[in-house]
Amino acid sequence: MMEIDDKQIIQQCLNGSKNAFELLVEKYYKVIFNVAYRMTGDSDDAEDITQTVFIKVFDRLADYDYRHKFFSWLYRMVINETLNFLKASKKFKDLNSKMVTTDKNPEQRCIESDLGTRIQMALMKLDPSYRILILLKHFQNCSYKEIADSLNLSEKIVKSRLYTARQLLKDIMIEVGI
Amino acid sequence: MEKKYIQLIHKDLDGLLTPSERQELDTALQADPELQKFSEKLLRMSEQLKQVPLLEPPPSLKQKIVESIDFNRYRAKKTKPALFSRFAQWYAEPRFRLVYGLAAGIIIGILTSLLLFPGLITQPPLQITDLYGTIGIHESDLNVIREYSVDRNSFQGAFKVKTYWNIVGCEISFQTNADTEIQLEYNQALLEFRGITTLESIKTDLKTTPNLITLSASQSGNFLILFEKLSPSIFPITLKINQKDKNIFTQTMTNN
Repeated sequence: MMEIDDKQIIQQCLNGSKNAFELLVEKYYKVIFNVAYRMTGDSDDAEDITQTVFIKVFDRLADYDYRHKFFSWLYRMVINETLNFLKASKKFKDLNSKMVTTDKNPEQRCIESDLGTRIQMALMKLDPSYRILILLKHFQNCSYKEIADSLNLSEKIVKSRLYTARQLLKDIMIEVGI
Repeated sequence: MEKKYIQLIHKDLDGLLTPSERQELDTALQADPELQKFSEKLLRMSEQLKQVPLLEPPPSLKQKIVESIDFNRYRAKKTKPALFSRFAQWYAEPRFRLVYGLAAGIIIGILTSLLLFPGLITQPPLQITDLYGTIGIHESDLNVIREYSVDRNSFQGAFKVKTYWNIVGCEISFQTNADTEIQLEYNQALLEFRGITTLESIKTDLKTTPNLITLSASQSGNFLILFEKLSPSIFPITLKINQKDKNIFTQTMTNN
C-alpha cells in the first residue's frame, strides 16, 4: 500500500471512521508486535506495547504531520514505548541474563524456528540502543534514511552505530553457538 | 584490519557497493585472511537474520486493540462544512436580509454613478517630491506633446516634451564625441523648474538661472528635466545645443 493511502486512511480516522482505523491496525499491528517482541523478548509485553501504541496513535492522530511518512512516526512511537517499558520494568539492568519467554501459544511456537529463538537470545544480549538498529535494518528492511527519521538521528550516526551493532551481534552469535 | 575495508564490508551487506569498491574489497579480502574471516562471519550473521520468520501475533490482538479505542474522540468533533455551504447557510438567515439589501443597493449605486460620471474617478495631481531623487511619477505616465530629433555634426539626439497633470518633463537623450552644452529656455511665469533625473550615471554640470537651464555633458546622456506647470500654457520653450561655444541647433516650441 502506498504512503498516500495511509494519509487518506488517517483523514478518515479523524472524521471518526472506525473502519479506517481498523484498516490501519490491520496494516501495522503485526509489524509493531514484531518490533516490540524483538525488543522485549516477551510476547505478553509485546502485546501490551502494541495495544498501547495504537491507543496513543489514535489519541495523537490529529498531531500527525503529513509531511513525514506515517510508518516513521509509528516506528518512533513504538520505539519510545518499548524503551520506556524496558526502563520502567528495570529490564535494562538484567537484559543480559534474561531468557526468551517460553509462554508462547502453540501457533507461535510452531512458527518460530529454533534459529529464531536462538537469534532472539542473542539479540537480547545486545544493548537496546543497538538492538533497535538491527531490528529496523535487518528485520524491517528500513533504509538508513527511514531509520534516521524514526530515531531522530542523522544517517551518519545511524550507519556508524549499526556497524557497531552488527559486529557486536556477530560476536554474541558466535558466543552462543549460532 | 583497515577501517576502510570494514566499512566496505558493511556497505556490501547493505548492497550498496559500487563496482570499483567491489573490486577493491575483493582484492583486499584475497590479500588479508583475517579480513576475509571477518567478512564471512558478518555475511553469515546477515543471512541468518534473514531466515528469522515474522512472528504471528495472537489472533485476538487486533480485536483487543480496536476495542480499546474510544472512537467517539474524533466522531464527536463536528467537521467544518465547506466554505460554500457555510456562506449559503449564513445567507439564508432571515435577520440579515435587510442588511444584504442595503449593501447591494449601495454597491449598485456606486457602480452606476461611476458609469454615468466617469469624471468622478479623479486622480489627485502628483507632486514632485525632491529635486534630484524621488519623483512621484513613472516616466511612462508622461504623455509626449512635442518630439524632435537632432542630427548635427557629431551630435545625434532626441528631444521630447511630456506632460502629466501639473508636471512637464523635457527629455533629452543624445550621443556625441565632443563636449556639449544643452540649454533650455523657458518662461518662469509659466513653469517652475523642479528637478532633473538622469538615467545614466554620467558626469554632468547643471547650471540654473531664472528662465534658463544649462547642462554640460560629453559622450552620451539621457536627462529628464522636470517642471511644475504654473499656468495651462507652458510654451514658449527653446532648446539650444552648443558645441565649442558654437550653436549647432535651436528649436523654439510655441503653442501653435
